[in-house]
Amino acid sequence: MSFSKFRKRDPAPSRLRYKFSRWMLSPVFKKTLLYGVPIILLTLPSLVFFNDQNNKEQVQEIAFDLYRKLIERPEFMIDALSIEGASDSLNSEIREVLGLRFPISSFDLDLADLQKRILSLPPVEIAEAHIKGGGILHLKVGEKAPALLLRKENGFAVLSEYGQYIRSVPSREHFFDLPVIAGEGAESAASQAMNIFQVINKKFDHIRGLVFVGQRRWNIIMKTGQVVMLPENDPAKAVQKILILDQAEQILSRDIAVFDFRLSSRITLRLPLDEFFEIDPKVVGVRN
Amino acid sequence: MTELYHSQRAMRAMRSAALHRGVIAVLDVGTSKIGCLVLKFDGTTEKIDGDGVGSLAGQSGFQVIGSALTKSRGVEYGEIVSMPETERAIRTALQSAQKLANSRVDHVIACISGGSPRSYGLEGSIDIKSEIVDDKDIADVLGSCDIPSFESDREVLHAQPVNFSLDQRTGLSDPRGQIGKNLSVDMHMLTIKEKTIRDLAYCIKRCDLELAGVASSSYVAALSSLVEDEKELGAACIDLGGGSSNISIFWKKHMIFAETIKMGGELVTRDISMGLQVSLSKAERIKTRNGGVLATGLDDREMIEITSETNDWELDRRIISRSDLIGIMRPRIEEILEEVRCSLDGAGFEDLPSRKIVLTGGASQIPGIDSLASKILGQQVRLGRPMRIHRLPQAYSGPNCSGLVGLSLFAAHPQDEWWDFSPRSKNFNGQSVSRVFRWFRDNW
Ligand SMILES: Nc1ncnc2c1ncn2[C@@H]1O[C@H](COP(=O)(O)OP(=O)(O)O)[C@@H](O)[C@H]1O
Ligand SMILES: [Mg+2]
Repeated sequence: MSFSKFRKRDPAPSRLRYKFSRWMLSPVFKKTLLYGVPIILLTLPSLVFFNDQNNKEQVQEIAFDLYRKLIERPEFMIDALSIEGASDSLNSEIREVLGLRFPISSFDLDLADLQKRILSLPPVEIAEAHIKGGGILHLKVGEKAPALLLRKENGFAVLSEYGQYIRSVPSREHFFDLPVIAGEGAESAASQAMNIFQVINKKFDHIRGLVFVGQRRWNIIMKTGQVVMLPENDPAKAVQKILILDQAEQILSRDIAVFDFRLSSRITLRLPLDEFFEIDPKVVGVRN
Repeated sequence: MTELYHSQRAMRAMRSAALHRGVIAVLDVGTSKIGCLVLKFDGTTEKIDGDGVGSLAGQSGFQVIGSALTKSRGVEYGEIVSMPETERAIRTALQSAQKLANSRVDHVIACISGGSPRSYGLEGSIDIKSEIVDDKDIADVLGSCDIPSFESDREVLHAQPVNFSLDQRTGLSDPRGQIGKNLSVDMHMLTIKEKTIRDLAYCIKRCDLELAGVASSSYVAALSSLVEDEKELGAACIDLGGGSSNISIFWKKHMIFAETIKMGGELVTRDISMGLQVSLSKAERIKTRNGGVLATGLDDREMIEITSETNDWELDRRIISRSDLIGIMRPRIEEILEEVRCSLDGAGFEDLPSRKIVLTGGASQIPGIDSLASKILGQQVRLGRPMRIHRLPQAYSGPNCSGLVGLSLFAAHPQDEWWDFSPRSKNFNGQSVSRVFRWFRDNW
């Protein structure tokens, strides 16, 4: 007979046990115990593990490998670039700028960045990039239309009708039909020049071009060397006037060096000078 | 008096908070067992702030989700005699009940049979200012009751309006909205020793629980074992417990009298233990297995083997007949019932129109006690069991649990008490002459 049989156990729970059981029964405590303790138990070892720099790097490496493996699956790979709406030269230029080496994962492509880079090319007006099924990166490009040639010291710059720079060319070779402008700051007044050309509209074909003078106003230079000085504001209207005058009196075909239309109320004509800076008597004779 | 008013109001507020939370425990601290039920209230939580009479306050559905019965400790004759022991027993009961309920309980409504409850009949009357009786008039008439002087070590446990009279009409349960000039009320007040409540409250506090109400054992036992007709027409419920027998008289659906006699089933057990020279636990087993109060010829031949472990051959192997056992038990039970009868007579029970007597409590399970009681107490005796409440375990449906079940009913549908009505003025000294209820005459 064991001794403990004599000692009757108190059936009542101790105060502490009673309190504990009540805690266990209170919903908040139960929840923290049910979720909190396992979470702590699960996170504690990993915290200890990652405390070591070596372990951390190793795990990062593995994770990176896995990531690469995932994004380099053939489903995500892109192996061709198609460009729509670009001339051959622009096409190759874009390819060069993007510098993409195919195949490349679509995860590594930043379409917004691509777009920005293409837009930074001067001839490009609009650009759109999206990924087409079948692993093709499709670019839709809108080129700026060349409208003017700006004469530079060595060659020409092709400008759009708003004066945006498109590209430089050594000669007019490919752009014979484009009107030529020159002068410092001419590109900033390109739209004014366009206006003037529009009014002239090939009415007299012996125009050489426009020169921007003093970053202010335009001169029309004829092939004959004659100069038509236009006023600073509303040069297009002045040109219109000149055209009317020319039609009526053929003034432009006269032997006059400079037509000064800067003041519309006081049109001045300057006679050509010969090599001795004398007025040609022939001309004067005509006048008489 | 105002202090009591506030403490009772505080308990009511606590109770309503518990009901709002939905879980409340009821605790019956008896002499032989401590029972605990965890009740879960669902849906309609009732409004208590609105004043009302009768069970107008609304009802709430509840079910039992946890239960426990343990042997009582530290309680004798219905009184707590050893607080640490009782605290431990309460803890045991509460822990297992909470475990079963799988929910923590913070509020408890308790009942205890000790504290020598004493009943008083109160009367008050007022003139109604505005023709129609309203809540304020009821509060006034309750406040106008002359509080009888009782010892300073007593506390009011219940103070329930029993009957309202408006001019000549009497027997009104709720006079509100009626037209009259003079409103009077009969009130039943029950006081018990303050120390008893304080001890119980302390034990419960030590278990980290809030006391949300106290009730008298006599009252709650009757709540669960009397049927509506009996409550209406007049009946006495006698809860024969281990250390005390709790008597309560109901009439017109209200308790009008309660008393406790400090005699119970344990006395019988003690008699058997002494008479047969066996241990108390053995005596208890003999009593519950073979006990009885009416001997027949058959009982002479029914032999009971008594074994004990005194290592004395003569003592350890005895055989007695059941008649002998009955001979030991009967005088004591007769004595208890005589005492009950004495108490009922004192309360004027014979004046009630119907004199039904319902025996309940653990000791009412002694076979034949109903026939014995009908010889002593009157013809209309029946054995009562607690009524069914939702999801009460089978083990709790016996008569020894009538107090526990009654306490659950009390928790769910409390009787309006005096302190449920806000008084119009703070001073309660009414002018009406206190006239005694006729059947309380001998009592105070
Ligand atoms: N089957 C039974 N036959 C006779 N007496 C019993 C029986 N069951 C319980 N009792 C008696 O009932 C008493 C306990 O009644 P109970 O109402 O549980 O007491 P209390 O309310 O004081 O805890 C004990 O004295 C016990 O001996
Ligand atoms: Mg009891």
